[in-house]
Amino acid sequence: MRFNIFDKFLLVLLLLCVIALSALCVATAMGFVTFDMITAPIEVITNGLIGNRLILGGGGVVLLAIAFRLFVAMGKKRDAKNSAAPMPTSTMIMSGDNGTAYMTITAIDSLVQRHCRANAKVKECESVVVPVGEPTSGISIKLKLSVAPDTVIPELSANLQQSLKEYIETLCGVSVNAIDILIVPTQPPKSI
Amino acid sequence: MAADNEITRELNEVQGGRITFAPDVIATIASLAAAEVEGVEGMAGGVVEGITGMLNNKKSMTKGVKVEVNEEQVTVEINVIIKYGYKLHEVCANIQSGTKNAIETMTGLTVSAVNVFVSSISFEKAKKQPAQPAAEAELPAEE
Repeated sequence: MRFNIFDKFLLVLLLLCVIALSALCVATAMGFVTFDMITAPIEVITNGLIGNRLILGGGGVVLLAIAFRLFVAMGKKRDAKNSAAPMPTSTMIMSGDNGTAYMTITAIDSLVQRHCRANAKVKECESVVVPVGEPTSGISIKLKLSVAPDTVIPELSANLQQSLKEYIETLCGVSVNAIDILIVPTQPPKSI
Repeated sequence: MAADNEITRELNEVQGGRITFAPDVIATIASLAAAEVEGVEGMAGGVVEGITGMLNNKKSMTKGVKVEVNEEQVTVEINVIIKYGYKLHEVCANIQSGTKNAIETMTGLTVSAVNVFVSSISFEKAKKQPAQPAAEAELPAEE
């Protein structure tokens, strides 16, 4: 069973209708609502203008569609994309006699961003930190960089990989297995 | 349920009696001990704790701390925010040792493990450089 937000909204609507109907039934059974009070509006709808019949029929079709949609959603299986194991959100920093220390991937990513953006040659930086295998196996970092036009890219890449690896391993105590860098085009300077 | 969450330590048979700790007591001790460690900016709580704190206008002393009890052994989980510039593994080791010592000294309970979760790094501008030899890696910006 896999309900998305829209399906949950429809389910709430349907349940509200069921609640209203059940309240009507209880009120009728207890005598608060008389038979005449129920039949009078039904007569107006069924014997009245075509517009009233259309409204009644339309309401029924809408409720049927909602019920059918929810029925289908119940049979949905998680697709392969959603059934994949969720990305781990933390990695282990250290483990000892006093316990274990973990660090969130978000925190490591913030350090990566700070280090890369401190380089004057780097204009834009997108980073992804991925734990590798077991929590003790370290992390790999993927960078997407936009660099200044006059940058010697091989030199920048090599220096950045080395410095970033030392930076993360010194500050966090997490081993960095790989730093992959993708250089993307930068915005060309506006010609006057 | 409250009785199950309470931590009880039996005094020796000569004295008799029983000492019982409420769960928040251990968490408060752990929270204060962790906050005293240099390099710790603060404790990291969840969304619910943050909203509750705002509504009550009261600082929770157990924010970011979870305590699990197994007989007379205690396991503590601490979520912290650490200041930028400090070696994280050193700060975490200090948190573990400080928290363990504080709990064992003040309560006499045995702490089996203190697990630390570093949820984020605080980059607030410091008014002065930290006195500790923080691990500031040389930035390539100097090239």
